[in-house]
Amino acid sequence: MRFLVTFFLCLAPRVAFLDAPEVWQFGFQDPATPIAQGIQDFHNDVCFFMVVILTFVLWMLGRTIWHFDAIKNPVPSKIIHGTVLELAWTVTPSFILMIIAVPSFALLYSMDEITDPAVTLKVIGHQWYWTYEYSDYSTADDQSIIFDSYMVAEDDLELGQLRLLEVDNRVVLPVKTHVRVLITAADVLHSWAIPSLGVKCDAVPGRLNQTSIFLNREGVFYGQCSELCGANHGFMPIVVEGVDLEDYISWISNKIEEI
Amino acid sequence: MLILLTRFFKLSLSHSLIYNTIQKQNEEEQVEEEQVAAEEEPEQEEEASSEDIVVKTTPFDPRFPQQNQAKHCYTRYNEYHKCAAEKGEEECASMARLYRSICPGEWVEKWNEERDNGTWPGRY
Repeated sequence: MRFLVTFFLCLAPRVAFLDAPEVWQFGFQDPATPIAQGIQDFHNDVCFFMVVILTFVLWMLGRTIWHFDAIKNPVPSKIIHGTVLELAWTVTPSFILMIIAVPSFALLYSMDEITDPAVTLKVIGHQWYWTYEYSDYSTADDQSIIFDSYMVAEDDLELGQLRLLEVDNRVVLPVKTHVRVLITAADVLHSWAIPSLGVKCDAVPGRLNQTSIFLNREGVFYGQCSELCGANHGFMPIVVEGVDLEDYISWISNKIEEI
Repeated sequence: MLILLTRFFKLSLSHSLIYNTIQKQNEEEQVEEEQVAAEEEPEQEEEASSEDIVVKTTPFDPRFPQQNQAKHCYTRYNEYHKCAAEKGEEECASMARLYRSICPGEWVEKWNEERDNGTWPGRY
């Protein structure tokens, strides 16, 4: 009986999203924003063209090698010019490029689209940690919610925590809400990147880069600094926790009380 | 060729769909946010929190469509101080929120120091 129950439980559909890198992972992490979904779909679509071209080129190459034989074909072909052929191999690739360009630009412009945001998150890159600021609710210049996010050292990891990816203070963002992320740096170049959110934005001192996030689902999303920034570049990960709007509000009010 | 053409139409269709979804979500979201803002206020009063939390931030400004929002932050900061100089700080409290939301704390701190020292290059 117990075996049967276990067997059927194994068959039942379960959802566990991949929001952090995995050992020997080949594919993408699961998308959590429309942009990440768009990027992955576009990748898959371009792969279709890639396979078609690869097959065609390999077939031509193989055929040429196969038929280049002094015994089977003693008289080699001596074509040195062919207008139609040249036209075909010039126009076809440019046509394929145009086909790829249309959805590519559509995706590119939808990434740039800034919809009226409800929350602003400020991200400041430091050597070697991230500082996050929420100032939508502050009534004075020194009353913002500001906290640093450091990596959890390997010795301090608890069971189940991810090595080199866990941080002490996570960023909390609401789901189904337009979030504006403003990214800058205080010392050198950094880059704030989270694969499953489809975000990678350089943090440049003196510049305030804007990008937007719309979380489709709750989850804990892991990312890393993606611009060489010095000795501990590999040890300043990013963790975003996507929560329900109500939970976000209660988290914010707790943070405000702490100030 | 036919396959390529069908694929092409499918591609453009799917990507325009993503774009439209984002647009639609935006519209829906705006409505939702207004509702949330309306709902949140009484809730917060019940909780007897010191402040009402309304999920609201500096809106998109068509003057600054660029990715680099540094000028947006700087302009909002100056606009607040212009307003404060003309009308008084209390009346311009809402404008202060606009720059606080988008300006990094370190920048504001530095600018405030310059204002205190009298080395601020601006008019206000």
